[in-house]
Amino acid sequence: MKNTLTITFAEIKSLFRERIVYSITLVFILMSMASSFIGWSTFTTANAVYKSSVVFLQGQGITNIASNPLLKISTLTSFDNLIIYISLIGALLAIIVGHHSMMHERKSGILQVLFTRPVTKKSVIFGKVLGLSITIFSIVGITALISILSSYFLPLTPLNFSDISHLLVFFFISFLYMLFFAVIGLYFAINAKSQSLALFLPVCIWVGITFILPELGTGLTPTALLNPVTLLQLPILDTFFQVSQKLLAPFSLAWHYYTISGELLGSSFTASLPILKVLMKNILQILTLLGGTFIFLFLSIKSLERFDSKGDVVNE
Amino acid sequence: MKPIISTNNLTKKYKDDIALNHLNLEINKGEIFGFLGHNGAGKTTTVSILTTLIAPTSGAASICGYDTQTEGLEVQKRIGYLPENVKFYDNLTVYENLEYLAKLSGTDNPKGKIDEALKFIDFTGYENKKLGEFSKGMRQRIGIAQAILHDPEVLFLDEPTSGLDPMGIKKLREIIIKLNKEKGMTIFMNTHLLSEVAKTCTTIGVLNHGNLIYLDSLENTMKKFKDESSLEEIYFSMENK
Repeated sequence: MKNTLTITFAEIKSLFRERIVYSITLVFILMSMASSFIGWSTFTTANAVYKSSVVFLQGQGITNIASNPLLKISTLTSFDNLIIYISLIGALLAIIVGHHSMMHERKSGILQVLFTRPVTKKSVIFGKVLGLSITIFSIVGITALISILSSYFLPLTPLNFSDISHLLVFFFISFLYMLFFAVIGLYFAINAKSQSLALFLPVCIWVGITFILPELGTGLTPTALLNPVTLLQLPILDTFFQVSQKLLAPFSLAWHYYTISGELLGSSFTASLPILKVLMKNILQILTLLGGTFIFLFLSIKSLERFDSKGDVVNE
Repeated sequence: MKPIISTNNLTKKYKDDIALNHLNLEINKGEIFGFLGHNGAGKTTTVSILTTLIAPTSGAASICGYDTQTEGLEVQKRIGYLPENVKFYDNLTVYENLEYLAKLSGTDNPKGKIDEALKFIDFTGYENKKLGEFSKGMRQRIGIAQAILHDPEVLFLDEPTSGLDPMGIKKLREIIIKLNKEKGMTIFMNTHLLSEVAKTCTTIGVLNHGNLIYLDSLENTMKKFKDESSLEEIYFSMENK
């Protein structure tokens, strides 16, 4: 345990001095601010359209006008762009952090030194994954803080306690989602013979999880992929997609992430659901995500145990 | 006297290639052993087995009486290792790099050991600089410092002077000899620089395509091959036999 923590602290210290990690944090902060701004902008535009419609209808002599539906929408929906940003950019950046964590050790030769110390290979992996987790958690935490603060700076309805709780749970689910991709990055950084292959293979998995599995798992309803609004989903008529949906939907991690996040943040059409209800409803999906992380963690431990640091050559 | 490093028919095969062929080696405490051989002769494979990094295909090796395969942790407590071309963490300071490895080596007083090691390699005053700021020669000295933090009985150096300028080589040579004289450390050094062996080592072994073709003290070697004017000529005459 002592060795694991030593490796964890060195990992965090080293990662937070890397430009790539600074850049990722900056990208996340900008994404968060952009999401809040786009949300506010959309709300303001729609509100202006409603007001001008009211003026127009009143000019036509119509007095029975529906109340402004936008007033019923939670401020949380202003952040729903983050779901897309995190699943597309966040997951990719997590792969880079995971990749960097192990590839640096291989390229620099530190692994050879580590493995001649009284340190088990399990300690090395656990220390690294713990360090990665804390790093990603910190990045997501900073983004969460910026998101919450931005709702006070932009002329949005301030977030109440329930909204903040929903937002924090959403960011925690995002952390778990990113951690899954970071561990994939780590796994391929241990196994691949070249640095480019170590990045290419997890990116292929990311493409599969983000684009292919959800398409097959949802019966090729692309609108549903980009918008967590279940009302927009069309019924699946094709037999192939009916079968593919049944088989692949349980493993469609991106789709699970969209669903859980959509239910937590709500949308222009649906209100956010209570946290406990969302978590209970999606418990299997959350377990699938955690299971995926543990499978790649286990594979990483096994790979490192077989790792031949003497014969290890990393090509660019 | 029981040898501090011992191998018994140590063999390593990579598919059909024999990297190391029934190596029998005994090195006594306090020696500076120079392991000579051309590139690919099997020197790094030998060190990798002795430092517990890889398992042999057959045969056995022991350090301080502990088997490298079955008592790996005991071996690791007693050895220090500086691989060829190791870079450590460029973005951490010298102190942070050493602190990390000192803690992983299980030292009781990391700070005291780091100060002692830095003083030994004549590096005090630089501990708060990032490692990336140093030349290769200085990094190799830090590499030696990390390897001696836990006072190992045996120090393995893989091509320690590779790529260094003459000043860097001289400084490193002085440190290696000082470690042997003052700390009584047994040193196992892989090299293909004959001049270094002549100036540093007490015993030499020559490996050729995985086979140990020569093993004796430097003194005896010089006597045996008195007709040859330099160690270089001795080496080539051995390799050509």
